[in-house]
Amino acid sequence: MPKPKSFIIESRLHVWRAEKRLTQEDLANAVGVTRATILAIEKGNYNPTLELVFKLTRYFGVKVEEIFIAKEAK
Amino acid sequence: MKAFHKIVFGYCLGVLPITLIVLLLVPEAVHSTTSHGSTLRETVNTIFGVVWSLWMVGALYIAISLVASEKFRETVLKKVTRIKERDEREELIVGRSSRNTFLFSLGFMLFMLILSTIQIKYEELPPTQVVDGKKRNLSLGLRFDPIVEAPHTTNSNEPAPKIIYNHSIPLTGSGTLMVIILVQLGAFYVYARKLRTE
Repeated sequence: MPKPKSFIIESRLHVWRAEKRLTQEDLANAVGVTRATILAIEKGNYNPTLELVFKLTRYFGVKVEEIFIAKEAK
Repeated sequence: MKAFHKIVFGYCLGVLPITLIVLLLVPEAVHSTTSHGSTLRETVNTIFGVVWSLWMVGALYIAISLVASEKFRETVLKKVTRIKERDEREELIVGRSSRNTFLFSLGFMLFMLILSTIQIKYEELPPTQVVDGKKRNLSLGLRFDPIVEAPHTTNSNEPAPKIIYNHSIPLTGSGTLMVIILVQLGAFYVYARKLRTE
């Protein structure tokens, strides 16, 4: 059985946040997390749960793929 | 936390340092005999007696509550361990830190257990016990004592060997428990901090 491919999730959250002229604190308050979590997502150190992903996409009114890009790991 | 819990907790935390400071500053206030002491000394003695008794009852109540009441345990130990679970990422950090702490403390306790079972004794034998001119004896062994036994009394008048080195962990039961608690707290704090800054 072939080994399933693993992915690296790239975040474009900082782009959407900048577009809306929001601080990390503003966005964190809007989706109910801490500023450190937004920072960790933007730096690619933390993969959010589906719940938080949907909160973020609904907040920006975009599709999941527009904020998070799954790239195949080498 | 319930109001009663708060009062007992505050009393135990606040009274202990105050009493200890007073005991250190004026030890004779408590240790001197009351029969020949002054009225003031007797009064101080009585007050300390009541304060200490209440503290002991309070400490016992807190200890039982920590085991029996989940709510109380959560409130108190969350503060002691500095657990923060404000969002999903922090919950993940707490989970990973707990896992790492559990494995680390398990490893540490296994290390301590093995260390406590190993017995190394190096002794100088009395002249009556010397065999083939060998005056010193090195014994290596394994010992596992789950319960404390009463000390053996020997009626023999023979001189005992002079112990030069005897390997043992210099900790009492309370000391060992204290070390394990501190190791757990320290490990959790270090792991949580490391994960938070990653």
